[in-house]
Amino acid sequence: MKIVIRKSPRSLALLLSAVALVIATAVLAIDFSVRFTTASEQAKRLRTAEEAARNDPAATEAFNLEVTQQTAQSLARTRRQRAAGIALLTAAGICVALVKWRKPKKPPLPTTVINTVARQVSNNGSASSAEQPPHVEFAPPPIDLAPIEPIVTRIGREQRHLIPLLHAIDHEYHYLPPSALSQLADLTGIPRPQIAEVATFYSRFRTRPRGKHLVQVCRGTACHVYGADLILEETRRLLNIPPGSDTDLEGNATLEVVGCLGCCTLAPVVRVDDRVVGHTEVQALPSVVDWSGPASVREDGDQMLSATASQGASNGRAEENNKFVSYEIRVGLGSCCVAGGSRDVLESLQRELKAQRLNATIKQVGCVGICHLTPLVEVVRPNAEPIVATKATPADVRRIVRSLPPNVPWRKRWRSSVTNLWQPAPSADMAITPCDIIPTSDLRVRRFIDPQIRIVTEHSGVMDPTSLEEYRARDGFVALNRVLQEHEPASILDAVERSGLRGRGGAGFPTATKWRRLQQAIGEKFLVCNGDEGDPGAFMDRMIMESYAYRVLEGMAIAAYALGVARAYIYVRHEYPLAVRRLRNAIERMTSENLLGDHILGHDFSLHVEIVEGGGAFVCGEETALLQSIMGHRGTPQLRPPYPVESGLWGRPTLVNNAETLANVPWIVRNGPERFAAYGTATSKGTKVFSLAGKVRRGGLIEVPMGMTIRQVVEEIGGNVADGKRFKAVQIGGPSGGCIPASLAETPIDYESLRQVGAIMGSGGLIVLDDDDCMVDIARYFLEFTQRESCGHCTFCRVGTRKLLDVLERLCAGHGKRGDLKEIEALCHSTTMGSLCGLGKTAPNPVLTTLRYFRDEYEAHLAGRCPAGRCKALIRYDVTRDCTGCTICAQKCPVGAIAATPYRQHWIDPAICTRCDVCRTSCPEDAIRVV
Amino acid sequence: MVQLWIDNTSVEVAEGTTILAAARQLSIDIPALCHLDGHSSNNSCMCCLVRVDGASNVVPACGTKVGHGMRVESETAEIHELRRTGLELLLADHAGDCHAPCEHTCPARMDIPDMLHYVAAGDYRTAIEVVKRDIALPAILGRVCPDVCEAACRRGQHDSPAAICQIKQFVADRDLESESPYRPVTAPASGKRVAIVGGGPTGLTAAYHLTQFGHACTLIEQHDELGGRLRHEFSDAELPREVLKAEAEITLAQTAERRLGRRLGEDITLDELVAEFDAVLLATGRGKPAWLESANIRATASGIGVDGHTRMTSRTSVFAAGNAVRTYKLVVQSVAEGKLAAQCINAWLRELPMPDRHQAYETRLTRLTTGEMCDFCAGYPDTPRVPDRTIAKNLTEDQARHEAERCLECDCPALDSCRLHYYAALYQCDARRFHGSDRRFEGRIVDGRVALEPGKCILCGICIQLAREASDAIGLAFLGRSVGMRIGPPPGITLSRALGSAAESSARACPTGAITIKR
Repeated sequence: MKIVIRKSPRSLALLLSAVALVIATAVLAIDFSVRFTTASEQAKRLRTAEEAARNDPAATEAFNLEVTQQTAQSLARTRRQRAAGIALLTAAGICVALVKWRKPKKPPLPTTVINTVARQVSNNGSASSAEQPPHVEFAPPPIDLAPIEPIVTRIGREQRHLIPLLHAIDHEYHYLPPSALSQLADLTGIPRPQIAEVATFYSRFRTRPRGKHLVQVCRGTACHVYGADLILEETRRLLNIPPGSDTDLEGNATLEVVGCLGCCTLAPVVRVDDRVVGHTEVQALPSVVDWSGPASVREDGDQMLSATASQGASNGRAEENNKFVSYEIRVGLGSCCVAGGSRDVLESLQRELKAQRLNATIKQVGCVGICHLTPLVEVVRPNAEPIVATKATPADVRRIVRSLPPNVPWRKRWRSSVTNLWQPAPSADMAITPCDIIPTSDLRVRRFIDPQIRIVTEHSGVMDPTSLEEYRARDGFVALNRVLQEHEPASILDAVERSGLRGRGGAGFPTATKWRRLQQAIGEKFLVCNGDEGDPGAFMDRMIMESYAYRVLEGMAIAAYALGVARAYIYVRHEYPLAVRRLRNAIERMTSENLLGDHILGHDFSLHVEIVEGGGAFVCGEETALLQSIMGHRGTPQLRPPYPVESGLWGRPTLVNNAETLANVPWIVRNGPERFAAYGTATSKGTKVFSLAGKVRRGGLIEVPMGMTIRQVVEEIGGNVADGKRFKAVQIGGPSGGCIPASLAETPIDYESLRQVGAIMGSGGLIVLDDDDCMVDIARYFLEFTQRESCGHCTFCRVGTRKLLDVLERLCAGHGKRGDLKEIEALCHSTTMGSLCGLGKTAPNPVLTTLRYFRDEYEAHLAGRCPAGRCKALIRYDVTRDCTGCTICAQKCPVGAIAATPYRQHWIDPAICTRCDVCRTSCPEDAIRVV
Repeated sequence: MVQLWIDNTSVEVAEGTTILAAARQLSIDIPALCHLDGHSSNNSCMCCLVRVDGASNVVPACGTKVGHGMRVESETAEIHELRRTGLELLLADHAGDCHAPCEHTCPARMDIPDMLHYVAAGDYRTAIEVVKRDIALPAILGRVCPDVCEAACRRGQHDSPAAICQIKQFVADRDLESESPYRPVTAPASGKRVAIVGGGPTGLTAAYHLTQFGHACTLIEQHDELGGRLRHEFSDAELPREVLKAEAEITLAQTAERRLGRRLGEDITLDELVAEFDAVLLATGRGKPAWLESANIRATASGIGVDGHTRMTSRTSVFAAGNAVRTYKLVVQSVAEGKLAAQCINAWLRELPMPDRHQAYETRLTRLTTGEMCDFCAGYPDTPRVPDRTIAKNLTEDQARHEAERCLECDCPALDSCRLHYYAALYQCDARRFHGSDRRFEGRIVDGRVALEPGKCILCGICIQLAREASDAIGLAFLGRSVGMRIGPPPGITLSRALGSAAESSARACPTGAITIKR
């Protein structure tokens, strides 16, 4: 029926031929049945007539007549049957042809050799169908505009509410329908051009409907070096998304590329609806994007909190029993940990503890930092060394729990003990998961933890990030109390100045200088906490906001008190929902405890903090763009001077500080600036939080004193790159930073030294690269990012980065021309000089540093070679003679470029091969190499 | 008042003035495409970069306020290089034709769209004026020219090119047949005398233009009739002799003197001519004359040797042009040569700079795709070309106007006021530097008389400022971001409602002709 509804010429023909088929069949059937029913009667009649004619010559006439009649009838019937038969055959033929001539369906991923062969055929077909782009967007359902008015009433009608309003509309309709925007303009009076400008600027907002499911492929730096491009390509193929579109024709799924999901240690990462999947592999993608099964509804973080709290309460009764001490089981619930599966672990822990009747409190903690070992379950036992279970899965939970000595009287646990008799505890060697249960003194943990100094991430992995009580118990709000009681704002400034704290957002501007300029300003002024961490490959600010929300807010309160600010904003990326939730929760809790709001703790000091969610624009990390965004405009950077401390939000003096900078402040006030200044180098004091990821063995969130060398970070903390690989470079500072080669690994990490070698501190992304990474590709990757994220305002950034990207793409595609390197240098220089804001001015840094330290790779690309074997156009996959003919590669190849030839050396068709690397990684004999 | 130095020249301006305004006070021309006087700076084109106090970075002059004792560098090689790059980047992102393809292709660079525009409007007098600016012999060329312009006509990609040559012939014939044929205004007499040897297309054209420049010309022709190569290269059917005669007469109508039947080297020598005239132009046609060596003029393999820049031979005051220098197959090339020679001689006689034959920077559209072509043709009559067999001898007036209306007006209507073009030429931008994934034609938004061509927009933001000021305008918006950023009316709003009364001022202030008001 579906075919008929579609009304294509083909289906019309099919319908007609089907009708013909039915008619012909009917004619034949009727004919035959008539013949069979009348045959005997006719024969009888003929026989009677013959008898009569033989007996009576007068009846001969009648007999002859009968014969003639019957002969004529027979002839007519034969003719009719022949015609009907021909019609039937023809119609049947047409039907079969039309049914066969269907659009080839996308094949399932390979499972057998037969499939492989079948796929090769159909792939050829789909290639031709991809050429005809009947680019049809699926039609959006009609729109009910009723919800808009309540949204406007709830959020507000001012210009600064525009982005929250658009978020709400997007949440309601899954895109921004033009009629809804028009209605919004009518209701709020916000000018239509402004609505259109904002709605088209932020990548969060879509003007086309989104599919039922949202698949986001992360293209952060770490994900990029782990092959996010291949994941993206394969996902697009799997979801059947036509070229030039991001949603499939049925409207089932929308594929989006996100700058960074901030789960760099789990790279490559894919988010399907609300579920984050780490360590994605091309082979595993069909199961990742499969929503035919039970809906993967995830519990909300806040619901989770109450569940955990009740668990603690129910076990609280057991604590009364002094004879047996309770265990504290800590599970990290930062976004990355959850993406790694810690929530599943937590759930099974809850179940298992109940079953085992163990006296234990499960506590959710913030980021544990040791991301390479997550999900991490730490068990704190009184009078004994804590133990940690690394890379735990739900399957390991029983083993973890049973490894703990019972701490509940026998009478309370006899039932579980009996049950355990026929459920023997799984031994470590039985486990197929990489879970290890080790004491915290284990070198694997200590090597990572010991070189670190924790100031911003103090009490990492210990504190429940949502609990105000616990933060208070661990020296929280001590600093705020002290400054409020001392009542000397000037002394806070002195302390910050003596501590030598510099901006942690990247440029390293002395914090005290900025503060002083704001303090001198009179009248209304604002404080803005910059939590718009857009750098791909960086997740420090997210972790800080998720795990130390109270610390950030305390820092803000101290700064506000010192500078006479009564209103503050926190600007957070919308990609960090958990950070937003925890900050919001922290603000609520603090307000209820009178730590925020009017007359804080009875003093003459009021502070109101508001959270502003970004709309997905990297450039909003630039302070002037960020302020524009808070005011409800496009995130277009403004020419400085005037600086925000002179004229910021609504023309008033505004201080913009990074979240990490502010999180340092309570510690400085509490422990004294001298202790802070004792860490670090002459010009860069204190510590810096980095997200260490990439090809390093131990990745995670680290906090190290300034002045530590890159080698120390990579080799001592990070545990170097994998065996057999060579540490090649670190990318530091994200798209504004640069690549520092291994030969300069002794460079100390401080603002000046990094600038000297061409990089910048940036916000603190640290991606380690090994010899599998092509530096031209890395440069191209970052430039593609900045080019995409350019606000488009000024010429050099908008067009210059695009033209620079053209040259790099040309190089990566093997079409480099003589003079390209010179052109790159010239264009980098012009873009640095001529761009208006930091984004454009620093955009060429990744290119310049790679060109400076890896010029030979650029020259190799000019000659048509990619030494790292990374640039698809310049490489080919080849099967060596080690091939045993096991056909695994042929089965795994997603495009059918390898014909299955059992027991013989295989061959890869370079014309079909998409260089997805699946065959090489799946070959058991290592018989596939890149040439 | 604030005193500052720009390029070591002191200037005093009021406090709060921008560097740009201060520089303009010193008549330093800084390219500020995105700045409109009396409005806040947009800082978007970033072509007005200057260096302040020797700092390592540069700042936009339009947005930076002056300071006491500021030392500004503006006209230095390094700053110019940055500005040039900025302009080149803008040009790479600017999709439009400065001149129409037909005009590009025409060797005489005749302004074809302008002629067609006047024909369509029925103003044949202005049309012939436009034609005769570049082509002295339009009636002849209309008959003998192989339609190179029509081959380039963009409409040819859609259905068939406009009948440019036939229209030119129509305009010229109409002028010839009129009672008072068009005569150009001549400059005041210069008192100089020029001898032109050769009455072919080059000689006739040179005489026509030199007379316009105010010089007294003497045309010397070896035969008794004018025409040169036109007389033996074309049959009477192709080029009727009476047309040739009539057009040659009209062309020479204002020329002082003609000496027919006088052969150089036999009846008259070059030395005599040099002695008699201030300048001599040799337009003697193909072949090397025998007297060349004795006249002390250098010859090349193809003909008389001339300086490529000045068209002067090795002998002072003797010039050469046309087939005498090298072989030109087309008559229109001879005509172009004649005009060029006339310009060179005029420049030499009046001691003016030689005509700049370096072509000014031009942006051109890459070949349009079928879809783009449909957008391009939108709003133009979809009528087919007048079939050649229905034309008896000449186009009728109706046919000519119909054909002229088919012109797609590919040329930029705002070229004369285009600041991007002006500065690109001034800074000698390299047209091909960022050639590659250039921006393509993106259609036009036409609403009444206002038209917006997003491909040409350089996102300066001036129109947005102007629309914001107009009380009756809803306003234009920046849509999208990065390279995909465009200017356009908000969704659901028409262009004229978005611009309101700011349409006129926006079109005037637009630095590139992205917003235009139909003429």
